[in-house]
Amino acid sequence: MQLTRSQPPILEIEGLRKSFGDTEVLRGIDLEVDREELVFIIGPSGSGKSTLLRCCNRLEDATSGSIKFDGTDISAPSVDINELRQQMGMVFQSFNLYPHLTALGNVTLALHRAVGQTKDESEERGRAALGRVGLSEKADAYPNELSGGQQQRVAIARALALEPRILLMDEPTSALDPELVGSVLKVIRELEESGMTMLIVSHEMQFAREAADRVIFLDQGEVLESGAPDQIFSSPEHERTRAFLKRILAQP
Amino acid sequence: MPSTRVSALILFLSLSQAGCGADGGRGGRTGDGTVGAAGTPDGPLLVAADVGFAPHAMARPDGSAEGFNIDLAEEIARRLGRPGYEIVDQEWSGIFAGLAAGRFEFIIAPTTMTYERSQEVLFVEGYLDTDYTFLIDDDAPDIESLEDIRGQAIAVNNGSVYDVWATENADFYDLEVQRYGKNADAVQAVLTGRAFANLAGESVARWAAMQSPLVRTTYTIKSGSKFSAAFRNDDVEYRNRVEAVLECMKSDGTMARLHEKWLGGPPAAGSAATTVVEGYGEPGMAGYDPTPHRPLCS
Amino acid sequence: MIDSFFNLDVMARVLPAIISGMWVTLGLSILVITSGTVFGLALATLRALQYRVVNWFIVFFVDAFRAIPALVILMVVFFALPYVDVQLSGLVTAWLCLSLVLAAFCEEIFWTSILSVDKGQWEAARSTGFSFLQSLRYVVLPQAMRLALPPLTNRAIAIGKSTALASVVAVPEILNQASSAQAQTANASPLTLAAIAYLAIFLPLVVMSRWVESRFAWRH
Repeated sequence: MQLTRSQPPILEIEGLRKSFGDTEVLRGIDLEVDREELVFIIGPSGSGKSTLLRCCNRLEDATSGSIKFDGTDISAPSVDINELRQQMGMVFQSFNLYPHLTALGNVTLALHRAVGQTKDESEERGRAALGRVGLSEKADAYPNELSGGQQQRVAIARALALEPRILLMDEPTSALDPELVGSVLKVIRELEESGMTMLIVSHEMQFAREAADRVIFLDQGEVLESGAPDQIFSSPEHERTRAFLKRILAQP
Repeated sequence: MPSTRVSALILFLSLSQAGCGADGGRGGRTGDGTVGAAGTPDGPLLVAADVGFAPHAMARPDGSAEGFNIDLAEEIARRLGRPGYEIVDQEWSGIFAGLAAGRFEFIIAPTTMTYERSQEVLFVEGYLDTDYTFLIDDDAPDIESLEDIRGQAIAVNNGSVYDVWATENADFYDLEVQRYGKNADAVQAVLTGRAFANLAGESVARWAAMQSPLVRTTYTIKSGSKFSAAFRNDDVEYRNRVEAVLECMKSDGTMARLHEKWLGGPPAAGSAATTVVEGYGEPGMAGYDPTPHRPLCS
Repeated sequence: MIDSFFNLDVMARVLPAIISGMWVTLGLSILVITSGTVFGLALATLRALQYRVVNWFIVFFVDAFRAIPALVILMVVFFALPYVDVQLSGLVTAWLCLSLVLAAFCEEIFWTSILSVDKGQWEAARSTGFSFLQSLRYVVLPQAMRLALPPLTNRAIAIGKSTALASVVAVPEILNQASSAQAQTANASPLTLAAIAYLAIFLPLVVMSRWVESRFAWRH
């Protein structure tokens, strides 16, 4: 795990606030993600983890504060948000695969229609992406013919095909049966080793311990703690962190 | 949500309106005072007309009907000894279907006799001459001869003899024939400039011109056609009875009176309104029975 | 009865007129279905953009044209508009009014089926760099269409049959021709022929719509 500090962080979040109506969900988040870093975000439900992720690619618009992707303020009027989103791949808890397309179709759709590649080009890249997640032989299967783990891997391939600079993952394994979680974690591990920058919201503490470069504890819309996994898991500073970990790790 | 009471009231009102359209009947009682259902021998005369065909059958604001043929119905009913009459408001293009289906006794609406039609229905002798008259916008130039309608749009009542004439001559005179469900709509077409002229029966055209300064009558095609009443083909005896009544109305001046009231003057001498024809039905039409009979007027 | 409603002689005589009416009915139906569906889809797409003021107009239009009987709309446009100097032929009136009525129903059908597509589909599409319209076109609409197709085909066929209303504004379609023939021949057989004519045109459409539905149904 080599952390490249010589370049500026790929993601810089400063003073991020987000309110839905009267409810303030994010209360001033400061966060940086360096290139090739795997950052884990943990915290109780309702702490704003999903919202934070969704603000990064503007699926939600921040109420105040700034988010810079590779030095560019993502809310600037001159920014083409569609192009930007292609550089920030997103993986959802509920996969959100397109049911009317095959696995290959899912992966190549944006390549063909948004990026504008030819059918052959997009198919080639699509197959490569599917290969990366170990699902080459499932290229012609429809989502409803795949297991949950396979579907999520296709979703990852779909994001990968666009060659993003960062992957945003919102609880990628939370909707999976336990025996299928491993296959997805394996893919994430491989991606990390190939140098992909990732910001992952997840409950997979064991995996965080093994693979994460940094763990962020988010509680009630604020970053309560941030540090190396060993530090967070073994000796958390805050009482709330301790209470949360106790609860989470006590579960079978 | 309306209460059940209100709903029941609405239901009752709508059901009481159901049945056969505009009612012109002034119900009366005769003889022993019992009145049967309309259409039965003890009940009011039940006949059909396309209400809205002035001056033959027109709607009054209160929903009842008036006109030349309505008065005819009233008179026939009285002379047949029926307690009043009821008019079924039936759109023209469905009127023969209605007759065949037995929805009314006969058609009192002014029906132009054609041989083709006489094969399907039984006509009484003609009671009114009807030539074909063009109705045009008051600002338009007169139609002096049929050449003047060349290339024009003619509005007619769908399925009428005027429709037939226009259709048959459409190719020759290069006409656009517009067919409307009601003649009133055809007149509208002339008023709004959609059609150049409306072709209708002389009486109808003259009435329309009288009612509106925006249209006037012009060229008339002498057709030799006559209006009659249509019966079901097997209803021979009833046709004969009604014809006898009509013949009396012609000879005792009742017909002339109605002509004066509704058609702007007395009928010409020797016209259908004053001439009794021998036998039952009209010579030249199917269903004509030349056997002479004595008029039965009481 | 046979003589009045199934007179083969009369039917043979009026057949050419009915056939000419069939061409008009078919042509008018195809035009109305095409323009009505396209306009309905356009309205639904516009509504998905969620501009408040625009939506107000869309909803107003849709509610009005679904609530007022098509016949009334036809007659107002045809008979009343000339008084404000707008004069449309019977055919154009029928096409315009029936298209608008179909568009109103189609907008609702498309809209509800677009709404029923999971929000996650929009998010996935947008997160791969698709614009709003691209997301609609490549991801959401294909899914919405499968839900929309059955009610759409029903509506399309219903509006096709309602071209019979055009008879009232002097369009020489089937019913208009049949009415004329009825009165001229003093026989109701042309009406029977008209019914057969409608069957001949719309029964195949009904069968075809079933085939289309099954072809696009979900594979489960």
